[in-house]
Amino acid sequence: MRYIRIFLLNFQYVFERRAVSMVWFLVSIFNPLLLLLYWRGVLHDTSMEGWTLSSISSYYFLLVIAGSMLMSHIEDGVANEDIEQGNLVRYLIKPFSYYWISFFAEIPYRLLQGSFGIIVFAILLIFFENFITITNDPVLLALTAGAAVLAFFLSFTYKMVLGMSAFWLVDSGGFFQMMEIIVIVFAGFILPLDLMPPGFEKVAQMLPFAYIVYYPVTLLQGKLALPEALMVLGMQCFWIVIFSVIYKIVWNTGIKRFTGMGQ
Amino acid sequence: MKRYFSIYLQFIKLSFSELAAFRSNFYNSVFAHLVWAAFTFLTMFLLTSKTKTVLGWSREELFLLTAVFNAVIGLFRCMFTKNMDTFIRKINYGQLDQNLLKPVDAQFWVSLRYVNLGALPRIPVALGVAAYILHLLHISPNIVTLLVFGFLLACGMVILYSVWFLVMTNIIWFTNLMNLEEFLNVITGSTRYPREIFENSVVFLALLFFPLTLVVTVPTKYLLGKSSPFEIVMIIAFSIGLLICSRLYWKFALRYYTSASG
Repeated sequence: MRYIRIFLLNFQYVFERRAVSMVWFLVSIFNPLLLLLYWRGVLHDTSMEGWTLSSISSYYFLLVIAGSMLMSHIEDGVANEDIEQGNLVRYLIKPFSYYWISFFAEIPYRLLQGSFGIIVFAILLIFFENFITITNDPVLLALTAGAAVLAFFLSFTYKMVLGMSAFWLVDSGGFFQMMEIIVIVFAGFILPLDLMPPGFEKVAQMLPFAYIVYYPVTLLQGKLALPEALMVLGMQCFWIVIFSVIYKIVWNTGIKRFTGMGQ
Repeated sequence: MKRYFSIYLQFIKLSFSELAAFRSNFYNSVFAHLVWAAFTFLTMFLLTSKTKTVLGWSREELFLLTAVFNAVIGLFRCMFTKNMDTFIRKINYGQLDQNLLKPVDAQFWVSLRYVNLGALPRIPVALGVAAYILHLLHISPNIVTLLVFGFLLACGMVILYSVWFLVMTNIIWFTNLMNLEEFLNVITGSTRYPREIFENSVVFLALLFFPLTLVVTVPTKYLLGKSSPFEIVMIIAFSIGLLICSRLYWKFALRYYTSASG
């Protein structure tokens, strides 16, 4: 119940600053739509590795929702505000888990930006109905919903671990930017994984980032069969466990180094 | 003009002093800029891995476009980005008074006070890559071509600055939009793609982004010998027009500025 209260308070705060969230949403959708224009120039009447203009348009349109709803951006708040500025102290003296407080504080941002994404997607559906392909298999749709929930958990846990690198790094900005580039490349934000060179595709499949955005989107498009869909969910659970263990270790060792001056 | 030039030299000296005092920040900044430069080349590599031509641009020409983009962005980040970030804070905390009361043009001060020397290494790296690609394409520009190329790059920079300043001036009314700079960063990223991608889009988008599509594409096409007189006239016209617009809009917006002490 108390975490619901935390969620509601944060939702109130986020909704009050919805214009800021709108700008963040525009930041997240601009690149997929720009890349779609690029692919329109490449694929106007051809196909490539099974991707037609219709399927790739669908991919980037769905990427708009997936990017805004599933990708957490908590690492800056954890690193800069909580650890570097010492605000973590107020969480340490509360009878709440820092992970779960941050989780319920992050959800309102994802919900608000996800709702912007759904509105934009609905508008795109009206004007570009022929370019959007979504599976109508109820089993795959249910698995997609499950994959989306797991993807958010995976993204959030990974970003929490990333944010807590600030326990050791004096200036984590450069490190975060490098990790952001790795995520952008291997999560499928630039292009679908099977359009990448073979080496890149193999690396992307070994890393967890594709399971945050790429696989939920292709699952919704119906590009994955049932066994592959179950494998995606399995891999998401695997990576969530891995990052949860890393989080525990990083938290337990990092908190011993933490000092909150003047708090 | 001479006075403003000497003031700008002082700004550079002060920025260099700051660099010497906080060297780790400088190294971080250089690292971040070079990583993002590598990312732009990686993006183009991935996008062209399965197709060798896109909308009349060969793969090498697209890499040249990316190199010129990095040179433009390196210079832009060096001269303006840190100032735009500071501008937001000045408006929010009502500190613009300090600039308005000085006997120096406020737009000049706000736009050019800080020089981010950490972005400088990106420029020679980008120009080096551009020179290598020109060598691969068997293109040897003469001194006149290079001077005109430099002039067109400067026009592109003016367009980019004017668009940024026009948008950022709105912070005077919408003080809570502190992430507007991030939005502009993403918009600026569109200049690394050929402007032909917008010709296939809806008319509204094509017109809205038309000035930005000229920033990098026109100088690159000029180097390749593919630019049209129309594009060259357009980049010069837009650079002058948008600069005048940014100036007029700034003057208009200042009437609505309220400081923290006011």
